[in-house]
Amino acid sequence: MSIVIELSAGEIHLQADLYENETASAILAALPLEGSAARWGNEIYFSIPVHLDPASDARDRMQAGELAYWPPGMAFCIFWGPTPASEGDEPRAASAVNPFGLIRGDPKDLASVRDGETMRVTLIG
Amino acid sequence: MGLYLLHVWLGQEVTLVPGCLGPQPFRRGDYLYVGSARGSGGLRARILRHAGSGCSPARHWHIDTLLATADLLGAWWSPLEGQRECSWAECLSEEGQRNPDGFGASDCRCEGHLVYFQSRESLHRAIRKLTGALSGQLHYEKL
Repeated sequence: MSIVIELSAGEIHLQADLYENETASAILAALPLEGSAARWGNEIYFSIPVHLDPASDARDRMQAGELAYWPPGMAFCIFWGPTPASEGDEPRAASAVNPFGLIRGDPKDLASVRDGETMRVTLIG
Repeated sequence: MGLYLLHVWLGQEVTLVPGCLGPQPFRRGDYLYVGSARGSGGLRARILRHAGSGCSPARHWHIDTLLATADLLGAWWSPLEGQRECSWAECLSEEGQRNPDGFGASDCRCEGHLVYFQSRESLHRAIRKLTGALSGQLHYEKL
């Protein structure tokens, strides 16, 4: 059974399943987390006090709703659509990120989150 | 010819003398330096050369003087042809400030190839702005 976390910003609350990998374990150990959201197309990212190197499964092509860690920026990233680096509709990270989870339901709700809004990440169970 | 960025962290305010620019004050904080090298092998070799320049007495470029005092945290590079250092520096300077004037730009007449950032967040915004302009063709290497 996967570990579930909640992502929230204002009135938006979304649940996500963590993958079973080292990045997910590091994120889990650091919960709860919060940060100031920055938008990059259909991605939200925010700095977190977690320092990880690029993982062996790091990649830049993401699926909608995927959570990942961006090593150069020590950032928690959430993808739901094209970013400025995308060639089509597929989300694409600024550079290779460590995937660690997937949002349940429709991640497009995050489109209403604005730059500077506080994002919170908590453990559900 | 490919281009690269060096992410440099300067832990204290200092005055340095980068070649013919004379004494220049450098603020504490984050910097991105734009450089160029020929071919993908050339890019990697150049980045690694910078990574080792802090302990080398040879100072060929302005950036060598800064790296003798500062920490090199990482590098970004793009193999795309036809890119210009001045254009990258201009893009980055939308989130930062080119300083000192003419740094790394001995071969051109632009304002310089070193950009200072007041915060790590603004540096990351600049990186993402450049990544978008390059359609994702900007790769990271931790040093």
